[in-house]
Amino acid sequence: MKCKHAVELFDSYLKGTANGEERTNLENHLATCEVCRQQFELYRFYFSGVTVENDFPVPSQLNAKIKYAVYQQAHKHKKVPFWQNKRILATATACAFLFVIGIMGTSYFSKIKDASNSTNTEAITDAVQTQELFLASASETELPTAKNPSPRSVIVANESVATADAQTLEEAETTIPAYDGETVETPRHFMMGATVFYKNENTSPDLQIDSEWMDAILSEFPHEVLTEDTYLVTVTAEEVETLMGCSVDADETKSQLTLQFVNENE
Amino acid sequence: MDEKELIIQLKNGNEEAFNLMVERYSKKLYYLCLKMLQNEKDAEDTVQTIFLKAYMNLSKFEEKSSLSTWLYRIGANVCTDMLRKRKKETSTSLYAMSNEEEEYALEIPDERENVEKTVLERERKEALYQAINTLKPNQKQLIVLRDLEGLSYEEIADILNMNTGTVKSGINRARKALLEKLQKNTELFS
Repeated sequence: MKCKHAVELFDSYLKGTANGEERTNLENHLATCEVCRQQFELYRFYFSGVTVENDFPVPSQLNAKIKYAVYQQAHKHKKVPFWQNKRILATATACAFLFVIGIMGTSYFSKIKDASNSTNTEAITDAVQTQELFLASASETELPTAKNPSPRSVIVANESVATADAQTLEEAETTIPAYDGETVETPRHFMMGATVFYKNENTSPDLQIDSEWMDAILSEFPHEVLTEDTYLVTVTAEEVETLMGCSVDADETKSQLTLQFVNENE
Repeated sequence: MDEKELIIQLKNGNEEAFNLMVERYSKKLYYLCLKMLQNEKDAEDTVQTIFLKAYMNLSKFEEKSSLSTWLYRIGANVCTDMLRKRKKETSTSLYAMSNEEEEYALEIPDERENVEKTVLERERKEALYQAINTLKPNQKQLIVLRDLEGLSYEEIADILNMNTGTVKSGINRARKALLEKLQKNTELFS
């Protein structure tokens, strides 16, 4: 058998459709022809079903990233009436907020300070629960993508950190980051296992909640509605780092993060 | 939810239905993109583009084919467009392995035989994907859909909007081109 005829039989031989004589002739030829044997092995490898799945696992959070990318684009195309316009809403919100924070801030901080001096964790928990929930304004948030693993800006809330743990409260209060301007260039630091609020002394009318970010987070993670605008979201530290672009301190693999959002329809 | 119901819900703008579609097809489409583009980051970004295009064009989905075929069609077109725009010098194959990795793999004495097999397997895959990478975009598309994704001629014809005969002859030509390129590496298969 000539090499040319042998090669023509590779396909049918491998598929099992070659007849007995063809199979015998090919096998005899391969036994004596090194070149054809190499070519046959090449065909066999190729048609054996070379897979990549074992060597290249699906990226983590692929589905969440897909959903976020789609929601972000989808909402960009939505036209909203002027009274739902985020900038107008944020301006009104920021003005109301500035008025409110002056009144509420004093009583809030004094409660937390009293609690931090207490060794009674119930008193601390009570202080956290009875604190007024302030409106949180935030810069527009970008979630990380494969091309932009470090998002440019992150959520900035407007309260101090509070926890149910007296020791951690003192540490937390001394580690509140200072921000320059409206946009935070570096990722935010969340304390897991805590209700998280941050001071922001640069409240600007241009700051606004990114509700697409909120929708994406709420659709992805289990959460509990605390009030109309506050959600208790259960996330792992890794999820926070990957999806929210923020570093975390976490000993537990699962913890609770409280996020507060302005309802854009209010 | 069966496919018929899913399509109805998708066209109604049901968010949960869209999430379900993502969960059902993202992995398949990711591997399609990975085999076509041979780059993990590009594949991850491209699969997002596919679902975005699907979302924006749901109203145009005529249901003449299955949802899977429709998504594959979008995927094949997006990937082929990307390949055409790509500069040749920037593309590397999927299994391009550094020399350090190969040397490290062989340093484990007790498992040298297993490791050598694994390294050989990897070298074969590298040669294969390198050869695939040098094909023209339309040939690469046919090879990926038929020989790597395992789709039937009819499914490929539906995806690429061709007749089955054209698909078969195109695949034969693409295989011939591919195997000719692989001839240079026959020592890996001896």
